[in-house]
Amino acid sequence: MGKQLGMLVLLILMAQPVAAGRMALGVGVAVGLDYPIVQEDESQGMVFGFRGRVNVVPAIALEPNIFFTRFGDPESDNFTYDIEGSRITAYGVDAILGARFGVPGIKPYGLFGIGYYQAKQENSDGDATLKDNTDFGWSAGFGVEAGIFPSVGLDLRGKLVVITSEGGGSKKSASVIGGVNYYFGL
Amino acid sequence: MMNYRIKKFSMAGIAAVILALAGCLVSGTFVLSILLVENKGLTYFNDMYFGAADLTVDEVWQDHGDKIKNIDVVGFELWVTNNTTSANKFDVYVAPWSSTLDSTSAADTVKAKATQVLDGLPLAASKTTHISYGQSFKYLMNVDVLKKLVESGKFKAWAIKGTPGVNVTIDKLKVIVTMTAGA
Repeated sequence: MGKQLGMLVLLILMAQPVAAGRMALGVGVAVGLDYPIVQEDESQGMVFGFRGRVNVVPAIALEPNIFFTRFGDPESDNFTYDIEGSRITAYGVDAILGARFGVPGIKPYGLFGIGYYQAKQENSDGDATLKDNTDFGWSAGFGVEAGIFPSVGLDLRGKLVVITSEGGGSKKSASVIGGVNYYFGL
Repeated sequence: MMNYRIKKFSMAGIAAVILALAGCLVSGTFVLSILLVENKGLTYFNDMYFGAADLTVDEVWQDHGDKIKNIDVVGFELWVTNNTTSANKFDVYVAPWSSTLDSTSAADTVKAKATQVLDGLPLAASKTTHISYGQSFKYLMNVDVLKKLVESGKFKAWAIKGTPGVNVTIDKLKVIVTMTAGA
């Protein structure tokens, strides 16, 4: 809750220079699919979330974001897998490389992000917890934004997420996310 | 000039993904389901069941056991029959493969020297109880010790009944291990 509040405060603070015309600011909402990569204890799930977008230098923007992933329930032929897929809450910041604000048309970009990932997994009855971890992670990908109007863009991106885990391993997934961005003051 | 810079940044993102995907190939999360007991394989003595768990015979273990980075989760699935008309319960203790404890050790000695990992598994009267993988997490304790023993590949286990003398049959027992392994 505190982190969500912090993100909201950050967006409000950024709105001041936007109002003064020194900075472009946008917000967006997105939803998509998340595919675990070499994770036998998860299956394909859904992801949705919210993001802000602020340009820091020409062609580079920062996106503070919060995303919620619910992986599908895992399955096995060898035993009764009565476990729910993990629920992951990600608090991150993505650098959008090649971002352009308020330009109609097709705008490709690359992205690189870092974040904290809270992962929780419970049994199907909800009365026992298998995992409850918070780990650092990073992501990389690319996407394209289609500017319909200067202030509205449709966004489609794919990214790979790598979450570090104990012992030097990592949990990886690939997500395909579509969304819409709105830019203030354009 | 600006378009060139934007394309360059976009290519940087694609390159980062390719590099990350290359890293993906070196580790993953694997699930082992190892059948330890199926109407045989346990030694009954001193009102205890004794079993030697050898995970290294599993095919997945043989593929990834030497590259384990972390044991993420350990659970089990169990079918056990209480042949008496009164309900009971039992606890499970584990010890390293190198422990001097064995199938002939007294229950009190096992309780004193081994580590309890399952507490109060219920045995309904005159029937077979099935404890699923998901339910097993309600009874687990000392999970970090259990994970270390699992990572070693072999360990000893004892099932000790709450009330001695009760006739119990462990019909089937699977140990299920989720581990992260890679180069």
